[in-house]
Amino acid sequence: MPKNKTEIMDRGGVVILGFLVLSVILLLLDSIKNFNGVRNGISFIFEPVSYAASNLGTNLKSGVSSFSNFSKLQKDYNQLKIESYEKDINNAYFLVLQEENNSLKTQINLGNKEKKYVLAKVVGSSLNHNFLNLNVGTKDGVKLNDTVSIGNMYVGQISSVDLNGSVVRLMTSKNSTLEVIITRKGVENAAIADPIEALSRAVVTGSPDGIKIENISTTADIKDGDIVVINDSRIGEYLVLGYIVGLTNNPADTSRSGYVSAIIDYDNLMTVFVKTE
Amino acid sequence: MIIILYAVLLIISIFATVFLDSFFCALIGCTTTFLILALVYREENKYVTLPLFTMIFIILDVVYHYATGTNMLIALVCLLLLELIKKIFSLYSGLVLYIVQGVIFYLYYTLIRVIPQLFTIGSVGYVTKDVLLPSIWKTIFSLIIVIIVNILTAKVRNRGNNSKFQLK
Repeated sequence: MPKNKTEIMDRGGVVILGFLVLSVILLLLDSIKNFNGVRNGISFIFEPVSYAASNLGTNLKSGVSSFSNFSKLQKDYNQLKIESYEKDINNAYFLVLQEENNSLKTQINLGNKEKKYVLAKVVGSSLNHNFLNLNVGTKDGVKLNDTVSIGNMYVGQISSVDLNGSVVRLMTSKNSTLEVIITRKGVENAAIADPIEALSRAVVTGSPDGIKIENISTTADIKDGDIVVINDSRIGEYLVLGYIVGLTNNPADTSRSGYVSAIIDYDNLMTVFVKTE
Repeated sequence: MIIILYAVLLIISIFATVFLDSFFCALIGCTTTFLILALVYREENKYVTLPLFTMIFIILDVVYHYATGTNMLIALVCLLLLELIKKIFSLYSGLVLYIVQGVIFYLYYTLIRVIPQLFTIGSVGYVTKDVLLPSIWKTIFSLIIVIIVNILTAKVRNRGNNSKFQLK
């Protein structure tokens, strides 16, 4: 039995010293790689425990730091939102420029170089998508019934014009009627060769179902996919309208009819050209 | 039966200590095993505490990829220093004891950052402000835990004494 407090303390110190010496022995043994087997066993049991605990601690730490940095995160979020909007705006502007560039290229490659054109932007359309609003008017030289096209692809005719704006009547509009010719050859990628080989004449009109083509000769060898080219004195030049689809084949009919699938997507038009001369 | 119970408690306490150490290491970068040792170690229970913590330190050496005996060496050096100071200056409670404990904790947290690589790659780690400054708040954290535990244990002891008849 220990007799006094000093003796207890001394014993305590000796025990700690003893374990200290043990730790030095362990370090020496470890340095000569004698512990690999024991370490592998301990690692097998306890590393998963340590890993799970570390994961939990890390997740909690990131959660707490997010909470404590909340105001900074909010500021960063708002800043990123603004940058994202700016990029969207720049992107939209770039897309507009790209579309204009493509339209100009098409116009230069396929358009009638002898005529004068005014570049116009589509600023809106009617609810039934039969009319387009343009940002050019009489101050730009636009007049009533001027032809609107992209390259040699027909868009419509000016149906209403004022100083700063005008309205284009598309082929799908009820009041649109034009004379056309149907061809198979002579138009490569909407480029029209001269002279053009006409298989038949016909008339196109706008309807709620689309662009209707009628009065096609029953004797002509017309098929779906043949190209419809506008050949009307009011237009004054050959302009590609689209392709024939849904051609009727009733032998009892005196003429054939069908529909025209427009070559231009009117819904996505942004840049068009108005022929002023 | 009691032996089995003690064995189960021992195993659970080992797993719990390893878990807590890894958890707090990841959460706040502070190992807690030495803190637990400092709280638990008493003269009366040294023959239980020291072997138990020896096992735990060896396990932690393996888990943290230190040389076997590193954690034990650093912890026991600090514990020995603490016990010597307590003995020399007869410190058993009070502010001075907390200051001394704070110094020992600071020493431990600094040594545990620089000593392990001495036994793995043969050179001591850099002692820079990135090591010294975090050790300060780890020491503060440890002291707060020690003070809270001491207050709670004192309250529990005093509650037990309330039912005793005391002569004044």
